[in-house]
Amino acid sequence: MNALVRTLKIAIALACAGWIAPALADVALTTTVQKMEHVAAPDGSVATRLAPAEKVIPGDEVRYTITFVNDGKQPVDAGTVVITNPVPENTQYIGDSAFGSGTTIQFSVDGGKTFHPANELTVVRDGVKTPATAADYTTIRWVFGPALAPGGKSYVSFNARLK
Amino acid sequence: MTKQLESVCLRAPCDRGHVNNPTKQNLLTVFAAVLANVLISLKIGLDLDMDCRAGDRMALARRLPGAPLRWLVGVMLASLSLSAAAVGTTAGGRIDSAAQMTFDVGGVPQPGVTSNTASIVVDEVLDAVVVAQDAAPVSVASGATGAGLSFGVTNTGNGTEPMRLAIDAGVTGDDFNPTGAVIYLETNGTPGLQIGAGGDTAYVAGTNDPALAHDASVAVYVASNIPTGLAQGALGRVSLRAVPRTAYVETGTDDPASPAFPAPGASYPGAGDAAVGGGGNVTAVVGTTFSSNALRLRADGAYRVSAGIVTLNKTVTSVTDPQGGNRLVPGAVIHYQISTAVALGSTAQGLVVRDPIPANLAYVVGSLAVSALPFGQQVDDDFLPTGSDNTGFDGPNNSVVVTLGDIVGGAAPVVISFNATIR
Repeated sequence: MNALVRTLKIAIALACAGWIAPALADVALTTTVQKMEHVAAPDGSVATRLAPAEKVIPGDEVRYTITFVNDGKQPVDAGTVVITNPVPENTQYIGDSAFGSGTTIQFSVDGGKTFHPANELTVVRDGVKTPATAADYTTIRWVFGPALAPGGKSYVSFNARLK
Repeated sequence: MTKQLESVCLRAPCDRGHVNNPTKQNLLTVFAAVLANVLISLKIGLDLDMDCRAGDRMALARRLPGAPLRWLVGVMLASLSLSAAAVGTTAGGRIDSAAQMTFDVGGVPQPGVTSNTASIVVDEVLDAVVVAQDAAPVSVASGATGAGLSFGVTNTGNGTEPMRLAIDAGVTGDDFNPTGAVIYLETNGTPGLQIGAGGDTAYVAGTNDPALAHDASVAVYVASNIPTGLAQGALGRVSLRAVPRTAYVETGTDDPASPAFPAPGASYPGAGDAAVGGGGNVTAVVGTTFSSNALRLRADGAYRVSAGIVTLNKTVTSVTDPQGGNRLVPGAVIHYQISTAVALGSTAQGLVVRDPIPANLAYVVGSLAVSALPFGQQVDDDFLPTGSDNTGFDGPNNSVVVTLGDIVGGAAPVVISFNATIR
């Protein structure tokens, strides 16, 4: 009888194990910000490097880097990772600075309601529809093309200038 | 390290990034606009405007002992809306950013994920600009005291800063050094410098450094004495400089010539304004106008000895009220007299005296008399300067106009008299 109960318990435990919700893909999202420092080299060229974002003043250029990692056990479907980042308040997006390996990048000028490629964005100024400039962007969106396997990691980034 | 900061801060512009087309507000462009707003009547062969408020003029004479009433260059001090190149986001502010993400697993959309918030605090830029507000050298008489120059001081940094002010009267490259220079702050609400009771406040360094929020301006005046015995046309310069007080406190100097004077990019942790949301005070960073090449921390004003070609003296000879007394009440008649004289050795060409009458006074028809008019002219009191007279009451402009033509220096003074009634 005890052996039967024990077997039954094990059987039930094994069965229950099958009913525990499957482990979700657990994707962690991290943002960091750094300051872009421009250093004049002796030959007159200007090199750029990243420094901690301390002592930022209006006019400084900062870079936001958003890293995503699949911490779960299941792959994330291809083309479904969509990252959205509003252009931070009191900054202006620096044109052509958005980056993301394997991503398609689009921008919004209406607070994130609609997104378009940069060269298709328009705004209305004085009643005339004109191409939007980086100063008009309100939000940036990256769509990651590949699937993200468990343990897979990538990042996107953009630069902005403090107003 | 300093070099890197310098290159960063030198780019710390003048760009107002939050407009669609960031424009660099060139200070020279702004100053040109200021010039355009200033009326000048300083040249031979000009119209001399004089305010009809004789009471004011007499009071001015009391405040400036030894400085006789002189005809004034009609300089209108421009307003202080400098909109100079000012940095944007207020010091101490936080800028936060967080990303959002959505994704699918096995065809099933998953709950959205939000990243941490990356936060940066905006440090304080210490910066100031001084602009001379007199578009041309101010005319003074040799020996005049308390002659005023106008300046505007703007906090072009992004925090709140008291401004430490200083004068250099020993500026070289001019003909004389004004003496006894005193700084005044515009405090009594009346544009222009007023010295004395009810006037503007004298500046005392360290005691009443004017505190300016970012982008705010204050009008500052310098009153100096002009040495005696100067030649006509002699030029004397006075330089006013302003340094944000934090820079002075941190370095001990407000003199750009001192080796301790900070360069752009010099930073002082904890010396800036308080961070929003707590966390102490931000770093104060010296801005670009501290560069020795920019020197917008100072501006020069100038005096030019230019007295004595034409002198106008306006007086009230009597007041007669309806009851026969001399009270200034509605109905009282004020008898004005203007005496014009041209200094020996000069000729005033095409001299026209125009006296605008305030709206609360009414010119008494027929009261205008001129002791000596150019040949063939007479007083034509038909309420309009018409025809060839050009002497009479200009109704549409509510002014008494007297055309005197060319007057050679040394001639007897021309006396103009007229009456006006208090409405």
